[in-house]
Amino acid sequence: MERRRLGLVLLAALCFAAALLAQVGLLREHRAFDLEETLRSGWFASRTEAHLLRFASTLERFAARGEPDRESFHEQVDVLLLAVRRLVREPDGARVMAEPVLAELALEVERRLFDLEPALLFLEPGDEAAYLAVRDRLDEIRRPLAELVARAYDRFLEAAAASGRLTSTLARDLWIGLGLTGASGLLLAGLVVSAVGEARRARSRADRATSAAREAEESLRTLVDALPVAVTAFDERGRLLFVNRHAAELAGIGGDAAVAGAASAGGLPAALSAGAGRDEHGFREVDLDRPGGRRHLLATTRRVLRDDGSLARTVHIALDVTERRAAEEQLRHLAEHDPLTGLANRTRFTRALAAALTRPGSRVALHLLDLDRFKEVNDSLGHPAGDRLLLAVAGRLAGAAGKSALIARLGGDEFALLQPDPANAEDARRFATRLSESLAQPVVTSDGRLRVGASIGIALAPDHGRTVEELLRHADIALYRAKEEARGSVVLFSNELAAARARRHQLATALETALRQEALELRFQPVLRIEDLRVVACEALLRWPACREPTGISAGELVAVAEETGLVAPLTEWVLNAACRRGRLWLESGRACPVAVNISMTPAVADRLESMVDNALASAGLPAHLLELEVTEGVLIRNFDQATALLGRLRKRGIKVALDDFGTGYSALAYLQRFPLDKLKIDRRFVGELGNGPTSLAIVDAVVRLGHALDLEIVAEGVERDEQLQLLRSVGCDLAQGFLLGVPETADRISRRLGETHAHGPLRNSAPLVVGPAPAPA
Amino acid sequence: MRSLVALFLALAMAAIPAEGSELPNPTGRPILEITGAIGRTNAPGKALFDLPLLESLGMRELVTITPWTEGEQRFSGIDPRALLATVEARGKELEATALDGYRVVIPVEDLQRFPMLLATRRDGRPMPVRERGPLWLVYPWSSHPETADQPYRGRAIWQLRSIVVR
Repeated sequence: MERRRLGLVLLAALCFAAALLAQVGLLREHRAFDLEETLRSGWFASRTEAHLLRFASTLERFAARGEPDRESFHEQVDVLLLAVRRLVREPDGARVMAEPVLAELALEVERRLFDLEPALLFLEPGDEAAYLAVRDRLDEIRRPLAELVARAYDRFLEAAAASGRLTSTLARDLWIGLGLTGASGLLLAGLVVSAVGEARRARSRADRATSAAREAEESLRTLVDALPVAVTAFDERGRLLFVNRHAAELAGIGGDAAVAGAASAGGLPAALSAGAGRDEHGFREVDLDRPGGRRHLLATTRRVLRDDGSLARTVHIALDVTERRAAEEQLRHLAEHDPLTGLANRTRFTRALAAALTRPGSRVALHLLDLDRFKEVNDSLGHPAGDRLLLAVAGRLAGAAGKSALIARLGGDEFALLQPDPANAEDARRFATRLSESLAQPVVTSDGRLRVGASIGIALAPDHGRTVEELLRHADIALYRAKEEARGSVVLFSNELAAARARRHQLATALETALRQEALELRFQPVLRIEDLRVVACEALLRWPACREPTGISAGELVAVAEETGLVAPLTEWVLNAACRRGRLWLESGRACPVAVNISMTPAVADRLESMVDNALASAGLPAHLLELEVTEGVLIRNFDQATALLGRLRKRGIKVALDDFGTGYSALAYLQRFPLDKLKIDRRFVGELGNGPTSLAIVDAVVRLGHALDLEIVAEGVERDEQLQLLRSVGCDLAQGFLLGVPETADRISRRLGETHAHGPLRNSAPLVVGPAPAPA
Repeated sequence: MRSLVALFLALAMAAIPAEGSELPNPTGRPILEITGAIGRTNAPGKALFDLPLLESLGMRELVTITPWTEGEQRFSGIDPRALLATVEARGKELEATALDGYRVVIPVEDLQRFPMLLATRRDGRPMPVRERGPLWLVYPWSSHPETADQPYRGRAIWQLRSIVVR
C-alpha cells in the first residue's frame, strides 16, 4: 500500500515538476530571464512555507507526545531558522528577494521567528498552554510568509506584463504550463483524498499504523497546501472530503474544519464546489465574489477519480487568475488608451467606430475636435502646462458628452467623439455645440486661467459615409472648415465642403506646377494720396496668368492654398523678386514708385524673410525705401515679440511696414503702440459701409485719429464710390486704394499709368474705373 | 524540487539486511546513520556515528569559497572515502538525506574525482544545525569551480543526517 502511494506521489511530483520546468523552459525560450527569476522567488518562498508547515506538525507532535525527542525537535527549530535565513541573507535568497517589498516581508518573517525561538527551545511536552501560545505565534509568522509567497507570484505576473512579453503566444504557453500544474495538482489531491480515507480505515487498526498513515497524510497535505491553486475534493454524494489552504482562503472558511468531512459542498461558493457534479471538464473561467467584495476570476477544472470499487471522487481545481487577468487588462488598456488622459486612443476609437458601422441600421455621429489655442499654451507655458490643459479638456468633454459617447484623444490636441444614435443632423450639431460650450469657460490650472476653444467637424453615418476612412476624412474636412471660420465653430460635413476641399487640392497641384514653371504673374493696384490723388505706391498682387487661370479662383483662395501646401515661402520669395525687379524698372525709367508686397507670416516665411528680402533687393538693385511689406494682424497674435523684432530689423533697412486688413482680426490696439509700423490699412468692410450711416464713419474717424496719434499713415482699402473718397478726405485719411482709383493691372498698363501720373497729375484720362470682372484685391 | 526528485529515490529504495558489527559504538548522540550495502555496523542494519567517532577517522582541512556564503571558509572534517571504507561500503551511489528532509543521490565517483570533505567543523568549531551543521558534504568549489554548478551543486548536502549506500 505504502509502495503504491509512493509511486503515485512520484508520478504527481514528476508531473508537477515537469509543469514547472515546462513553464520555466518556455520562459527561457522567450528570453524572459527576469520572469524566471521572479518565478524562482515564488518557488523558493513557497518551499520555505512548506518548511514552516512541516515544522508546525512536528511542533504539535512534540508538544503532545514528546515525539520526536527534544534534541531532534531543537534540530528542527534550527532547520527552520536556516530556511528562513536563506530567504533573507544568502545569495540565493537575496537574489530572488531583490524586490524591496519581498525582502521586507522576508525580514519580518525572520524577525518573528527569532523572537519565537526561546519559547520553542523552552517548550516542554505536555504543557498545553505553552504549546497553544507558541502555535499562535507560529501562525502569526505564517501570515507574512504566505503574503510573501503570494506577492512573489504576483511579481512574476507583473514582470511578465512589464517585460511586454505577455504576448498572446506567451500567454498561451503559460496556460499550457499552468494546465499541467493543475493536472498534477489534481493527482496530488487525489492522493490526499485516498490518504485521508486510509487514515480513517487505519484508525480501527493498530496505533502505529495510524501514526504512519497520519504522517503520510500530513506530508501530502503540506505539498498540496503549498500549491498555488485551490484544490477541493468531494465524495460521490457531494460531501466535501478535502479543501487545501488556498481553497479555504478563497472560500473564507477554515481549512481544518472542512477536512473533517462534515462540511457539504453547499457551504462552498459555486466556483469551488461545482465539483459536486459528475462530469469532467477542461478549464473554465468562473467569477468568485469574496465576502470582502472583491471579485476573483478563477480558472477551474474538474476530474473524476474512481476507486477500484468504482466509488467516484471529484477533484476540483481552481487557479486564481485575477491578477493575471488584471495584468492582461492593463496591457490592453495601455494598448488602447492615451496614457495622459486615459481616454481611448486612435486604435481603440477606430475599432469602436468600425464596430458601430457594422451594426445594421446604426446611426452614429463622428465629431472631430481640435483645440484652438493649444499650441500657444504649449509654446509659452511648456509641455507640463499643455498636459494639464489636455487633462482638463478631457474632463470637460467627458462631462459634456455623457456616458454613452466614446471619447478618444487621437494625438496632440486632437480629440474624437463617437455619438451613438443621433436623432438627426441637428441633434449631432447640438451635441457638438455642447462640447464647444463646455470649453468656453477658461480652464483654471496651476498655470493660471487658460482660455481654449475648440473647432469641431461632424460627419454622420450612414449619410456621409459608411466606412471608417470615409467618415474620418469627411469629419476632417468639416473640421478644417470650422477652423477657418471663427473660433469655436461647429461645422457639419456636406458635399459642398467636399467639393471645395477637392478644389483646394486641385488648386494646390496647379499652383505648384505654375510656380515651378514660373507661370504666375503679378498685377499692381495703385495706392493714391487722397489729398492730390497722386499714385504713391503700388500693391503687388499675385495672379494666375489669364490663360491658365482655373475657373473662378480668388486671390484669398490662392494664398490659403499656398499656406496649406507649404508653398507659401517659395511663393513669397518669387513675389518679392518679381516685385523688386518691377520696382527697379520703374526707378530706371524715372517713374520711381514704392512697391508693396503682402507677406503671409507663417513660420516658414518668418524664418527666411530677412534673407529673402535682402536677396530680392540686392539682385534687383532696388533701394530699400522703395519696398513696402504688408502684414496682417495675425502676426501680432502668433508671436508678438518675434514679429516685432523681425519687422524692426527690416524697418532699419528703410523698408516700410504696413498693417493690412486692420479691424478684421484681433484689433489688439494696445499692441499697435509697440509694433514697428509705418502704415495702417483700414479694412474694406469699414470703408464699404461709409455713407450708409454714421457708425462706420465714426469708426474710420477713430482709426485715423488713433493712427495719426501713433504717427502712422492711414490707408483706406476698397474705395469704390466717390462719396466714400470724400468722406475719407473729410476725416483726414491719408491714402486710398480701390476700384474707384484703380483696379489691379498688368505691369505694362500700370507702368504706363505711372508715366501718365507723373506727366499729367492724378486720375486724368486714366484707365476705366471698373475693368470687366477683375478679381478683387487681396 | 530537489525533495521531489528525492521522492523518486525513496520509491526505488530497498532495505538490505544488516551484517555483523565490528564498529565501535558511539558514546554520544548519533549524528549520522549509514545503511544499505555496508559490511560493518554497530547497530542492527546500520552504522551510527557521533561526532568523536566520526572525527576519529582522521581530520583534514579544506579552504574554499561556497556558493551560499561570502568569502573563503576554513572547513575541517573527514575524507568521505575514509568513511565509506570504514563501513565497508559496496555501492556506486550514496543516497543522502538531510535533517530538513532534503534528499540527493551522490555518485561514489564524485568522491574519486574531487578532493571532497565531509565537514564537521568550520574555523575549528562544530557547526550548529542553523549553520548547515552538523555535517556538510563540501565540494572543492574554489579549486574545482565546475562543482558550483549543477549537478554537483545540489549534491553538496548540508544538515546531513543519513546515508544509504547502494
